Amino acid sequence: MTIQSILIVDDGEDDRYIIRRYLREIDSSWHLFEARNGREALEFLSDFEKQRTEYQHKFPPTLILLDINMPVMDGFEFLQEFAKLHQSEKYQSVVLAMISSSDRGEDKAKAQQYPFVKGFIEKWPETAESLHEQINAIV
Amino acid sequence: MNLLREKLASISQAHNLIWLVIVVFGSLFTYYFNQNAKLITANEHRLAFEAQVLPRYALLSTSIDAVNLRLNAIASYLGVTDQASEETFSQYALRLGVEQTEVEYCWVSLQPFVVHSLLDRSDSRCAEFSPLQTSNVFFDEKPRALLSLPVHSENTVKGFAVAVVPLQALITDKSGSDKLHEFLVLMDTSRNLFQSYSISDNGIASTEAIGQYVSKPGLTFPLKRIGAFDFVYVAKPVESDVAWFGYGSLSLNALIWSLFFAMALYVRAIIYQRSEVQRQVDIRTEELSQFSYRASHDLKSPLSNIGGLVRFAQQDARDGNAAELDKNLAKIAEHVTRLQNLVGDILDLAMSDVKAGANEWVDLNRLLEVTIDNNAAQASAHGVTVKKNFASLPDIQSSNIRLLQIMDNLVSNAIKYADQSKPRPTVTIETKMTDDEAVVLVTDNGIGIPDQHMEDLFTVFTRFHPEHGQGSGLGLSIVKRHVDKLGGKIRVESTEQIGTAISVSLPLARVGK
Repeated sequence: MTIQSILIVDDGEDDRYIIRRYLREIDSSWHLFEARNGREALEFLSDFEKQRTEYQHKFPPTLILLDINMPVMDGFEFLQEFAKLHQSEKYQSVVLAMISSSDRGEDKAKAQQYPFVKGFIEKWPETAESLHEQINAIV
Repeated sequence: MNLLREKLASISQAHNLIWLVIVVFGSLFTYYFNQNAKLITANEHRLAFEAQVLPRYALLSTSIDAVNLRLNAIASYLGVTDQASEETFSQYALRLGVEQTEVEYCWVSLQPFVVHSLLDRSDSRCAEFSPLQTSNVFFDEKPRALLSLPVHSENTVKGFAVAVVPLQALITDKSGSDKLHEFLVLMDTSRNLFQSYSISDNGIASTEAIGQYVSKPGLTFPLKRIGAFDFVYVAKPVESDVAWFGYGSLSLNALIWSLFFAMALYVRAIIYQRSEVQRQVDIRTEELSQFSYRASHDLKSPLSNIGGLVRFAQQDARDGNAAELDKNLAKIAEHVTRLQNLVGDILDLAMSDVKAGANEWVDLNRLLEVTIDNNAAQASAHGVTVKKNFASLPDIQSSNIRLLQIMDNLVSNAIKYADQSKPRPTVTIETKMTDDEAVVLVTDNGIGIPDQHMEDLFTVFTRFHPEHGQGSGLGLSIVKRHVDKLGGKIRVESTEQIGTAISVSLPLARVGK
């Protein structure tokens, strides 16, 4: 699948900077969306018509990179809500990867309950290339 | 007993069922014996121990039954039968002046079925026990038991091995009206209790006579040991200060049952303790697991970012992109600071369990002055005015190091989370004194704590304002632990946008520990 756009959901400003810089390095044509927590991401995703008008085929994002520990709405709460959205045809194509500095098995098992969660990326891959490989495997 | 404990440890909650069976069986048994209670006084003074014995006192009612049986036995020993005339009993009557016999003791029951110690009233624990502690013993009517003993402070208690609990029973008095009485029944396994008592001709026990055996006027005889265990009982109408005392022995039969119940209660107590201990362990384990998860996450997260940023910085250096390099180095420095704070806080938290408790005298007002001085630079940097309003306080028995940490946390938080949009961000530090506490109140008009966090104020790694500053989310947890260790209390009130008020109450002086 060709990546059109990626939504980064992370509360850390530096975390978003790091991933943004990596992604730009991999392919600067990807459109990047950012959200600071699950709630912001959900609000952005929910309004399909509006975003579609604004971003056209770049919306919905091909891939969502989701942090786990976030204030307001954390990664797991987001997954629960997003699962409802994902049932709709419009979001069927969207896949997710968790990004976290914790590699706790329990977290992985919890996220894997959702079929649209396709991978785990540990913060941070050594190089842009290794992140690229991981993303390719997911998408 | 260790063996018993081990056995119990291997058995599950099925014991609850066994316990239930014991209680049901015991209640039936008790009911049966209450129905057959025999009384030994003249008809007019028949003590009607009816089956109103409250269920939780089931153990004791077997003793009451024994009281009746044994008093009966004593009655025949003394030649006083059920048909004895009222006059016979009236000769036993004694009236003790209030000033003559003050019952200076109370019973302290530490376990459900054992009166562990009988203490002098000067012992503070006595204050928790109400029924008999201030009773002056006298008979305002005719005695209602065969042998009624004034128990004098000097005669009681010592070496008194015992089994028993207060119980209540309805007693029908001479006029036919029912009165609720409170009982204490005490078994004397040491045989030391009943030394001797006397009743003088005029029915007044003289204090000089204590030490003599009791009998009909003019007659002295020893109280004979009858059953397996001697006991004395004390009864008092609930609504009056008048108490009376009886003496008896438990038959072997009753004793066995008593022990049976005692054992059942003991088993019950152990099971309860065990499940309580287990519960505590579970809670601590869960806390620990939560803690290590959050700690590892919060430690790893800045480290990973430093790793990522260092790689970018190298790249920027190679590319000669000085501006980006500078930005990235600044970010790295920030993460290092965050890590330093976090590691410091984790250490503080760990040490808060280890450091000494309240073991020195502390001048709280002075300590707060120091705290304010230490935070002065931060306050002026944030444009915060720090006000103080100290009451005069005595030195309190506490811990300097813990208090410094508590106060520094509270004051620096109040400054850090000042509301810059307000014309005059202010932090007020007050002290005041109540009867037994010194209170420190830190109030601010800062940004306040969001409502949803009021429940997990003291939970580790809870950040109320993640977008605000570099807090580790451990500060209030550390404060809470220190306050707990010092035997104090902490209260937090906060409204978002309005401000926060935190009060810490500390005991003025502590005994023990």
